[in-house]
Parts: sequence; structure tokens; C-alpha cells
Amino acid sequence: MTTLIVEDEPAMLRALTETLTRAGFTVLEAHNGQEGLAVALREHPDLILLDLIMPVMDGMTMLRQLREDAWGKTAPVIILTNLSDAAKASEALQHHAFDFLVKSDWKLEDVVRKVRERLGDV
Amino acid sequence: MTTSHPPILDPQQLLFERALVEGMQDGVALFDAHQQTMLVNTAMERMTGLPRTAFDLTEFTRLCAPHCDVPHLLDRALREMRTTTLEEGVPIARFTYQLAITPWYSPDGALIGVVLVLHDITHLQEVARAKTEFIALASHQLRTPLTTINWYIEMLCAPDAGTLTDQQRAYCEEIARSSQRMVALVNALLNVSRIELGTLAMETEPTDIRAFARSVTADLQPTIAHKRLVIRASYDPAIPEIPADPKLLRIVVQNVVENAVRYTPAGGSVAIAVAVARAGATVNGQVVAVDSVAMTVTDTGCGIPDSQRGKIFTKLFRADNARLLETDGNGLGLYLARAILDAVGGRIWFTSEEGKGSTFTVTLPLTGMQSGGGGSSSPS
Repeated sequence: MTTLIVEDEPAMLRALTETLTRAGFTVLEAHNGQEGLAVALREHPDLILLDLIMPVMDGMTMLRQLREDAWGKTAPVIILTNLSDAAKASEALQHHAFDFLVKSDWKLEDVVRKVRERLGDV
Repeated sequence: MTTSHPPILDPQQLLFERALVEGMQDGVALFDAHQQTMLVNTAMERMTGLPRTAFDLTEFTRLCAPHCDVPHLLDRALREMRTTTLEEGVPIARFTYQLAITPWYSPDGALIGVVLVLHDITHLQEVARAKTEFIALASHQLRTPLTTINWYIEMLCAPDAGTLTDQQRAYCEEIARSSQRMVALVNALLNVSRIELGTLAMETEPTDIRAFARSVTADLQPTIAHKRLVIRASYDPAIPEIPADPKLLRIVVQNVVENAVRYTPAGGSVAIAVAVARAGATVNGQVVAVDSVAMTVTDTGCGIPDSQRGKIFTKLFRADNARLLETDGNGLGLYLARAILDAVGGRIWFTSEEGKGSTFTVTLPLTGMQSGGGGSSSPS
């Protein structure tokens, strides 16, 4: 199973990558929405963990553009952000994000559980 | 329109008073007992855009109408025979004003007229808003380093990072606890700023308040076990699901139950009851106004000192005995619970005896949470 992590903070990207790798996933990394979109459309990962506030292209823009692609239309996405804005959450869910997780409220092991749950691999 | 003169002023006094009123920065208008305009200052003309020749109570009422019921406020001032103030502010053009209505009596107690004063609070409101927006922004920014701290402590304690000594593990747990406390504080501050900015979105769905009481109690299980507290839960099976926003309801239930657990000493007990309370029924010393779901939480904790009862729902306030007992509260829990309930038409109140315990009751109408609330802060 391959997951793509789109995250601009190096420390968080590293924590997520190491944890998911140890949990047995193949991990792809991207540092902003533009990079994330390119990697997603090229590699077709099984799941995308997407941050919202990022330079170059933010996560919500990436999600909108992803949904315009034939493959990307149904690609599983979990929003993982520190922005707990109800408007953003409902916009993400409108674009069929599987879940909207506030990073500071989530332990790494619970993020892994959520990823497994989405991939039907509990 | 006729302009009458007050019977108690001679012409010279009148000139003096007019000069005084004219020099004021607040908008001032004076009406006689028959509500005829007697005097309007320049500030009032500027604020309302009404020239003094066309200024009368009807025009002024119309101008304020979308946001403020002037005749109602006037009646109240006359009935209570004192200044009545609309604190929330009346928006006129691009500005916001506080409106005060003062009845004016002669020395022998006869009504001469009323004074109407507009005070510009636009800047105050802008400052308050900027402060709240700053807190919201700062809270979001604080979450990033907090997440990193939490995640790396978790990784440090995971077996893959090598084995920690017991002492190292204990240190890590201490860091984790503080960091999680900071996360809780940031979340509470964000909720406070949302409430104050009016951006707290409410999305109701059929909700069972008992499920929240159960889940909050389950989350507190480690503390309950550690303090050997006895929890008595009594959930009326006949409680219907009511339309409520789960996020908001959770904040309310969590704060009330958590306080009971936090401030009850080891070996004490906490009783949680959820029941239907019919209109007119007395619950925890107060009469319920409409058919409601009532959650009552009774503890055998430190209680609230008599002298501090009035402040218990005030932002950042913590009672002295609570402060001594538990150093890690933030004084936002009950403020938030009350602010949420005010906004959705619910209520919260308590009875307490210092040293013996407290009983808090939360009610929500059976019809559910309402946006716009029950207006408990509106003038009655």
C-alpha cells in the first residue's frame, strides 16, 4: 500500500513518513500542493494525507484540482491539518475527503489506525 | 414641530445648558414629557444624519429599528425611573453606538422629559475584534510546534526508538502531559475566540445526550480510577434524541463532568443524571421554563465559596479553593459552557456548599439547539 504525504513542515513530514514506513506502508512525500498533485497524478497512491496551509499551492486548491482528474476524482484523501475551521472542514467533505483530522488532537498511532481504516486494512 | 421650553429653566440657564450640550462629543437629544423634541446637539446630527429641524423620536426609532426597539427601551426607562442602556450597540451607517435613555424629573418628581445619548463604541468593538482575531491566529500557529513535540515524544517512547530507562520514560511522560495541557488550552482559546467573533458554526443532528455523558466519563476513567471515585450514573431510558451540534454539546458535557471529577477528592463520588424535565418542574433549585433534557452532575468536591459564586462563569476566573486544589485549570471551561448554552437556547446553573460539593445542571429544550439562542442576555 502506498500513501502520499503532502506536508510542508519538515519535522512533521519526517514523523509521519517514519511512522507510516514502520507500519508497513510505502511512503511518497511532497512539500506543497503543486508537488503533491504532480506526484499523485503520476503515482496513483492508495491514499493521500493532505495538509491545508502550504506555500506555492494550498491543500484545498490541490484537492479541487485532484477531483477534476479521472483517477483523482475518487482518490482517497484524509485532510491532516492544524486549521480547525468549520468552513474548511465542510468544503473538504464536499470534495469527498474521507476525514478531517486536527493534527494537535491526534496521536501518530491513531493517524495510522485511521489510514488503515480507510484502506480497509484494519 | 413645536419646541417647548422646560418650565424650570430661565432663559440664561437655558443658554448655558445648550452650550454645554453642544460641546459634547456624544450625540444628545432632549424630549419633553410629550415626546416633542426640545434640543439636539451637532454630534447627534452628525451621527444620525438627521438635521435637527427634522429630528423627532419617530425618525430616530425608524433609524434604529432593525437592531433596537427604541420605544421598548424608553418604556423601560420610564417604568424603572432610571437610565437604560443598550450595551450591544446600535449600528448606524458605518459606526456602532451605545444608546442610553435617561428620564428627567423636576425636583418635585414630575416627569419633564427624557434624554437620549449616543456614545460611539466603534473603535472599542474594532479593538475587541482585533484581539479576538489575534488569539485565533496565534492559537493556530501554536498548534504546529505542539504537534511536533507530541509526535516526537510518542516516537521517543515507541519501542523502535530504543529502550528508555524508567527515569527517562517518566521525564517523557511529564513533557507529554504538559504539552497535551497546552493543546487543550489552545483548543479552549480557539473556541472562545470563535464564540466572541460569532463564527462558531452550529450543525445540528439528532443527538443523544446520554451518549456524551457516557463517552466523557469513559475518557476520564484513568483519573476516576486513580482517585478511586464512585460514579453513579442514572440515565432515563425515555430521553428522546434532540437536534444538537455534537461538537458544542461535547464541550458543555465535558467541562461540567470534568470539573466534578477534577475537584472531588480521592474516595469521593460523582452522580450524573440525565432526565426529561417538564416545563414548570423544579430542578436543582430552579424552575425549568420549557420542556427540556436536563443533565445534573453532583459531586462531593471542594464546592464554590459563597463570595465567588457570581464570578464562576466569568472568563479566566477560578475560585481560590479550586486554584489551590488543582493548579492546571485554565478558567475557560464554564465560561465556554455558559457561552455555548446562551447561544443555543440552553441554560446552566448550580448550587454549591463550600467543602461539601456542587451540583451543576445543564438544560437543552426538547426542541433542540436553536441558532440565535434563547436570548438570555436580551433586555427583559
